[in-house]
Amino acid sequence: MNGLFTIGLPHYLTVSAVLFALGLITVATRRNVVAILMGVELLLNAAAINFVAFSHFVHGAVAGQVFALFIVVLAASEAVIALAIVLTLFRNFRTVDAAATATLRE
Amino acid sequence: MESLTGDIQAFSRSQILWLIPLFPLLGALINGLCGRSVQARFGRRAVHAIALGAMGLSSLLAIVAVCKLTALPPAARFLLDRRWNMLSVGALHVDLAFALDPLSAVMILIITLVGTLIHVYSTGYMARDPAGWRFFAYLNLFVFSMLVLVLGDSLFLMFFGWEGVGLCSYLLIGFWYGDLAKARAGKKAFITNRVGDWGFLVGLLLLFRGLGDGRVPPTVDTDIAGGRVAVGPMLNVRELHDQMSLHDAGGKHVFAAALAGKTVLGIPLLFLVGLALFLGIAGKSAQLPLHVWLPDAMAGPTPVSALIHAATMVTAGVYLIARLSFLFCLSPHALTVIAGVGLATALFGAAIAATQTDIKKVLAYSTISQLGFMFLAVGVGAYWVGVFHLLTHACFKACLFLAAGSAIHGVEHADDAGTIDAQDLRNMGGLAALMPKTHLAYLLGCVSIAGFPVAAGFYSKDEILWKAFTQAQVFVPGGVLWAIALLTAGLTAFYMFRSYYLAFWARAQPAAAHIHESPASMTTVLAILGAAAVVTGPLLGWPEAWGGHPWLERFLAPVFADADAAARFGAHAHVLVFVFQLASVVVATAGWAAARGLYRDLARTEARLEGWRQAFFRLHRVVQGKFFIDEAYETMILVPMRDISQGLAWADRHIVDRIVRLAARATRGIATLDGWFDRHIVDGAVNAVSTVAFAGGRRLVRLQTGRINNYVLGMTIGVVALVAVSWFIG
Repeated sequence: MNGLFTIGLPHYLTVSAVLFALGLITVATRRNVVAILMGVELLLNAAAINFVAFSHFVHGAVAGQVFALFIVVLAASEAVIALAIVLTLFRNFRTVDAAATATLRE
Repeated sequence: MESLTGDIQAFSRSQILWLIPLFPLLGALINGLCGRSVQARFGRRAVHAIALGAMGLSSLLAIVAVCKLTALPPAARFLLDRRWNMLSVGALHVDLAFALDPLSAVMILIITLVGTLIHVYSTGYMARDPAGWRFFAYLNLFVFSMLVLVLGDSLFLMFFGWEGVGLCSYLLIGFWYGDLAKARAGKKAFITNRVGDWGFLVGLLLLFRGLGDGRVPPTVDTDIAGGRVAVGPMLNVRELHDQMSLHDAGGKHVFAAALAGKTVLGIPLLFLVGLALFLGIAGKSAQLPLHVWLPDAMAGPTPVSALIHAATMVTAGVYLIARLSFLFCLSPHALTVIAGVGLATALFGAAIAATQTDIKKVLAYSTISQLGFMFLAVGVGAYWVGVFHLLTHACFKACLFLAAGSAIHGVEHADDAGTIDAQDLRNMGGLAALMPKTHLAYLLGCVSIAGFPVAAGFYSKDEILWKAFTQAQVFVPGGVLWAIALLTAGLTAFYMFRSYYLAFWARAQPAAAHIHESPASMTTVLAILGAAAVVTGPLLGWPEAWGGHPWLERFLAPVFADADAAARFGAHAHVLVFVFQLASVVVATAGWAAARGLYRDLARTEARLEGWRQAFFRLHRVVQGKFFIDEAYETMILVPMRDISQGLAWADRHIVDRIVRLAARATRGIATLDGWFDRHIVDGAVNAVSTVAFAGGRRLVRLQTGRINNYVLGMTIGVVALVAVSWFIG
């Protein structure tokens, strides 16, 4: 049943691409820093899906799964640091609007 | 190389010689650097203790060293104390090394013992001076320099000492620098000595150059039995002596002959060396024509006159000739000049001394005259006699000076108002009963210098007369030398007894009630020196004609071995010696009798003296005016020098200054141009660069919005563009 409805590599890649696009749009358009962070998480997970999918469909390759695990861990630590920065940002500016904190420009 | 032999000076090592000059140096440093506070806190006694302690230690060490020296066999009497190498430049190697041989032994004994006595005397003489610490520092420094001069084993060190004693002489003559005349006298001594020192240096350099001989490469050592002898240019006296004594199997002194054969512009090099060195000697030892500073040097405190300007420093010239006798004996022409100048100076000094009214001036000219005798002795080749006279002169002249100082001290302190000149013989007179010890010491000194057989001066002076008569190497007949010297000896007796009678008899002393004998520190020293002025002569130089063999001659013989071998004396019957001695005594007696007759009782003879003064008005004025040599220097050297200086000053102001100003103006003009270039072109270029960078930055800053969204957008567009490009190019 190698038809359209058999789940194969293109489906995974499509999901991943959609997810990546959503993440990118979120990051590029949202001004709330927390939202931007969420977008970044989407981006990372899109990449992880890609890794796992390739790993599954390429015979004998497990490196992709290991990378996926790395990405999960990386995403977690990134979130911790990023949220800490966001908190500090909030404490200093009383806002989490990325556009309002462009003080380095001056 | 052919094999050479020679009498190489054997020597032993010693470790104590360097300490002899060290202690006076330490004394000078302590008193010189912290003497003022020492004197303020602990009193004069502390200053005296430091100075005297240094002298005492130095004397003690000198005696120990001389005892060590005499314990050696005569030919090996040479102690060497090498400390370290001071200087090595090309062929010149100078060590800090001290050497003691019989000649320097005699000298260091004179310097330390007479020096110590004079230090003791000074504690009394300078008791009231507020700057006593400075005086003793200078005095110690002088002793240090003099010991370096005498003990230094190379001409380099000798020159160091030579300059050092000159400096101390200057400092001590001008000790009371508040008095302009005294400060000037110090300056005069220093400058006159500079002329002499220039000669000394020229002599050394000529000698050094002359030794750099083409025969042997300068650094090669010559193998001889018993060691190696350095040859070539050198300043070390012992090595120089060894080099000169080297001779081949035929007995030819190769190096001495090579040196003696050298000429500069057709003039024998050694003659020039001798003349140049003698110029230095004439400066230091106050011989014609550089004697002018010594009479003025009497401005210094009297102990200084006794120590520096009678007993030690001025005899440095005699010492130098004796030290280098092995060189001087190679040039009979130089010796002739030395003997001639010495004799002329002796007569000249004696004549002036007979007319002076200042007691210290009399003694100063007497010193000049006696030094002339010493140079006559070394000039005719009787080196040990020169040193003998140096020794006896040190004793009796120190005695005379200190006795004169004591008399001056007495007169000075009787005169509270300070209105009279205490050194003027016309203000003295009648002191014999008031200052009996001083009187006796002065009398002993006079008897000694006048040449009566009971005291030291006779033995040395008579030996000089005898050697002058019998000599056969100077190009003047001995009889002429002897006759002039005998005349001078008679004059000596006359002027010394003249000063004696004028000071101690002559008239009743007007201030008799206030004059009293000097303190014990001074009279004790006078007693010791008075005794020395008598006994040193017969003790050290009992004449050969009287069945003796002078001890000093035997003691010094190893030092003068080469020079004595070169000196030639005619053989004369011994009976002639007795005739000559009788003549000396007769002349001395005549001098004494004349002085006694004329000056014993001035009241009786005043009119006659005045009559003579009128009759020989011109002669008297010339002689009393010291033959107007000072004035001649004034018009011939000082005035032209001043005129030239003024001319040069004018040239400086009007020509040199103008050139300098012109140069300054030109520089300023160039600088203005340069400044314009800097401001407009160099700065313009720099500013242009910065302007471009700045404007560029202003435009580029718009890209930096600071908004994350924009950056992400930019990044995304960039990635898409890259992918697209790679796709299309693919």
